[in-house]
Amino acid sequence: MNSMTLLRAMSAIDPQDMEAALNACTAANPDRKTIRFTRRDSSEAVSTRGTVLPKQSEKAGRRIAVGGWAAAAACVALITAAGLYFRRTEDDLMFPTSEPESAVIVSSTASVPPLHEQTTGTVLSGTDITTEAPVIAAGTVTAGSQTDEAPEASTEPAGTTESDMQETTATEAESAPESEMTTAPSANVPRSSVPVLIAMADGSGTLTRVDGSNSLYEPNFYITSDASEIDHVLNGSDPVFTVGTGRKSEETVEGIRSAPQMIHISWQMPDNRWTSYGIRQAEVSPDGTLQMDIAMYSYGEAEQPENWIYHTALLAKAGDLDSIKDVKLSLSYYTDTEETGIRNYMLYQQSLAEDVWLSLLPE
Amino acid sequence: MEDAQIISLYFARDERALTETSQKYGGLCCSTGQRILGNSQDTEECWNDVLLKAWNRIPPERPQYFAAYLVTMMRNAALTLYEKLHAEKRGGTQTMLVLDELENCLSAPDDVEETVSAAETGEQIRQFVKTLSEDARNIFILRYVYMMPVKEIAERFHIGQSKVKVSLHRSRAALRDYLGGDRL
Repeated sequence: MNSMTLLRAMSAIDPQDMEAALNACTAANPDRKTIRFTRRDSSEAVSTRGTVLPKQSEKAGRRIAVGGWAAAAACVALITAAGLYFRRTEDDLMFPTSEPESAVIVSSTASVPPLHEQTTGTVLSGTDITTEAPVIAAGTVTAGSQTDEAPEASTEPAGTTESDMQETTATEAESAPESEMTTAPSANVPRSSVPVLIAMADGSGTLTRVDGSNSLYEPNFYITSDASEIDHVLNGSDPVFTVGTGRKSEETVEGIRSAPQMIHISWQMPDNRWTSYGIRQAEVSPDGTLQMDIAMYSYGEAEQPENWIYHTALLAKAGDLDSIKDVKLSLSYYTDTEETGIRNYMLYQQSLAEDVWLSLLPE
Repeated sequence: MEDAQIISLYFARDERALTETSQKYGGLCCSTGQRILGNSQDTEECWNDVLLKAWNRIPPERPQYFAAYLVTMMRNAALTLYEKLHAEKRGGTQTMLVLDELENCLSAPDDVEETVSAAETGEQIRQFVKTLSEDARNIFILRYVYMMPVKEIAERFHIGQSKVKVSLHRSRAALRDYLGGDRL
């Protein structure tokens, strides 16, 4: 008997139970009944766009309340951010004055420190990530690479460097040691930050299995302002994306939505299907390379590694992504037990609730 | 129109039965088929097959739970077509994910196949589902009968995806034991 036979056998479930499940589903959310019983077509897909972002925002807010320890980590991040706030020179950062919520910016890495305290293991290269033991590994993926080699392993646990903490903003500041200001190669170059919405494919069941014929670890990316392509992401088309609005104001979110520009990034990895992943940092270096740090979580359900394509996207206001010429990804892998994997999944959800700002060099 | 009225139209051999069925349950069945096949044209084809089957089966059959009756036919038709079209595994639908999840519920294939027929497995699953709590049962059915994505289940029940995943994992583990997977 194979799993398809088992799936077919599910049809033998008592029809009464089947209808009870359906009724429970619609009773729990009666306003969605019309969606359930109505076929989807292209016009309907467009009409749902407006509901995607606010809905995700509310859900993200609930998740903050759930993760007590995550909230504590966020507090630490805020305190640190406040410290940086009062130690920064005016020349170090330039922020758009039109963004009132820019008083506090915390990257999605705010939830990382507890993870490292609770995760133990050895450092492995990207090809060894299928072990079921708790593992931390870090690798780097660069766009345009023609090699199929695994990402370079790092002996430094991901997320423990100063680069974990994305910048905070300031309207006034004092001088600070250069190493504390920014992790960009040109720390003394004035930088600006723009808010971005993150859109990540849902790891629960929307990743695309591939045949492995293409080069691995080779990220592809494109930048577009095409409304239909952006709609494709926002509406959760294949692969289904989850859009995180963070703590940005409705005005900011609406501003991005009204004139969006998107960079869509995808890459392949042979692994046991990372169940979730989150963007921890996004920054553009002086040469136009977008450096993204991404944490990938799994509790290793699959025993046989297979190739998967992962997708992520950043959405910003039109023009904010123009300086990006290349993409470089730093991947940190966390393979845990199921229990910690679930906690990491909540970390991923938490990361969607955090703000992600893209540090840019001014044109 | 109530289900009983629609079924009466079938018994009267009134072709409005098909129209009413499509109007009331076409969306439900097609969304299930779409999750399996990931293709609207194939889904439409399956739905037409289901309507034909319903027309041929009613009478003499008189389904008590009409929606479940139709969905069962629809998912069987879609799974058959899926197998036909996907000799080579491909992604993009919920089917591969569901199959992967269920793989862990299986015992050693040969052992089970020798001892348990598919019909017996169906009956076992039918009984197994009744052992689950109401919440776990509903989540299990929505996932593996209606092929609903985890994310959508979580949203509809206003719970986190992690909770849905945990529930499904426990149900699968229980199903594995129920089917004799403790030999694994």
